[in-house]
Amino acid sequence: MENENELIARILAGDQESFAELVETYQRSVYNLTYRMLGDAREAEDAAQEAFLRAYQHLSRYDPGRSFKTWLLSIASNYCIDRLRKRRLTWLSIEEPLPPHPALSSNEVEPEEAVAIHERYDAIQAMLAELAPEYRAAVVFRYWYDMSYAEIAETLDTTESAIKSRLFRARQMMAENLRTERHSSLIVAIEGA
Amino acid sequence: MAHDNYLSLISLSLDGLLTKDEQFSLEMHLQSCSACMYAWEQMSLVDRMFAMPIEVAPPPDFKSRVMEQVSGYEQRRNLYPWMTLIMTTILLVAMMSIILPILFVTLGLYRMLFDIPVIGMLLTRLIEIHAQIMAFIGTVGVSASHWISFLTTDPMALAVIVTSLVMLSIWIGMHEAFKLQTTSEFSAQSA
Repeated sequence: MENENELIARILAGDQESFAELVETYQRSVYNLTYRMLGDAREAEDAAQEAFLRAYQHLSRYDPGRSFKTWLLSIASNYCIDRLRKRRLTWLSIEEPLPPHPALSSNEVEPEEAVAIHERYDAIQAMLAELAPEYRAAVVFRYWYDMSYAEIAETLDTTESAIKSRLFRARQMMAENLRTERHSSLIVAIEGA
Repeated sequence: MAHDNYLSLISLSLDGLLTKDEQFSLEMHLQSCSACMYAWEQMSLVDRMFAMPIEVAPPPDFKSRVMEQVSGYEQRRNLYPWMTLIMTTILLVAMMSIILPILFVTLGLYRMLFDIPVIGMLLTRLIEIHAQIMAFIGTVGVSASHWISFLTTDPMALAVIVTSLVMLSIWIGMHEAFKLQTTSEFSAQSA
C-alpha cells in the first residue's frame, strides 16, 4: 500500500514510468472486469484503456486512504455500466452469437480441456449478458474478485443492502433462465465440469 | 418467516453470510418446501458455474497502448496553455479591431488626424473625392428613379419598352440561328 502511494506520488510529480508500473500490476484485473461486463474482446480492451486513462487524468482526486484497486475497478465498472446502457439503446439482440473470447490465461491446458473451458466460459458470458449492467457488475465482483458486500458497495458507490438485493435478484434471474431451452447446453457444460 | 424471505436467505447462504440459526431455519424450510428446494438447487447450480476461476489475458501490447494514450493526453495538456494564449490573443485583436474604430469615431479622435500635415491633406482630399462620388451616385440614382417611374406609369412608354424587348429577343434569336447555320456550312465545306 505504501509502495503504491509512493508510486502515485511520483506519477503526480510527472513520472509516467510509475504509471506504467501501475498498469502492469492492474491490467489483468481491469481487463477481466471489462471483458466480463462487456463480453467482447475489442470493447473490453477499449474500456480497460479508457479506465486507466481516466484514472491517470483524475489521479489527484484519489484518496490514499482507500484501496487503489477498488478505486480503479470502480472507474472501470462505472464506465462499463454506462457503455452497456448506451448499447441497450441501440439494442443488441441476445440471439446473436457470442463474439470470440480472447486467449485464456491457462495456456498449458490440453486441447480437449481448452474446448471444455471455452464452452463453460461462453456459458457464463451468455448468462451474464442477460443481466442488467448493475446486477452484472455485482455478480462479477462477488465471484471473480472475491469482494465482500461492503467492498462491492464501495466500488459501485451504493449500499450493502442494495448489493444484497442485486445479488439475490441476479441469482434468481439466472436460475430461472438456466432451465430454458436456450441454456440447456449450459447445464451440460456446468454439470460436466 | 415469509416464503420470499427464504429465497433471499438462499442467496445469502451461498455467500456464507447466514448465522447458525438462520442457516438451520433455512435447512428446515427446504426440507418441507419443494419450491424453495428447487430454487436452492437452481441457484446452487448457478453458484457452481460462477465459482470456476477462469481468467482472460489482456493483449500483450495492452500496457504500451495505455501508455501511448497517456502520452497523447500529456502532450495535449502541455499544449493547452499555449493554445489558450493564442486563442486569447486572437480574440483580443479581433475585439480591438472592432472596438477601436468605433471609439475613434465616437470620441472624435479622427479630428486630430487633420492637424498632421501630409495625412491631413490626404484625408481632406479623400473626403472630397468620396463626396463627389456620392453626389454622382445620387444624381444618377435620382435620374434613374425618375426614368423608371416615368416608364412604368406612362402606358405609351411601357408599350414602347415591351415592343423593344420583343424585337430585341427576335433579333438575338435570328442572329444565333444565322451563326449556327454559318458554322454548319463551314464544317460541311471543311469535311
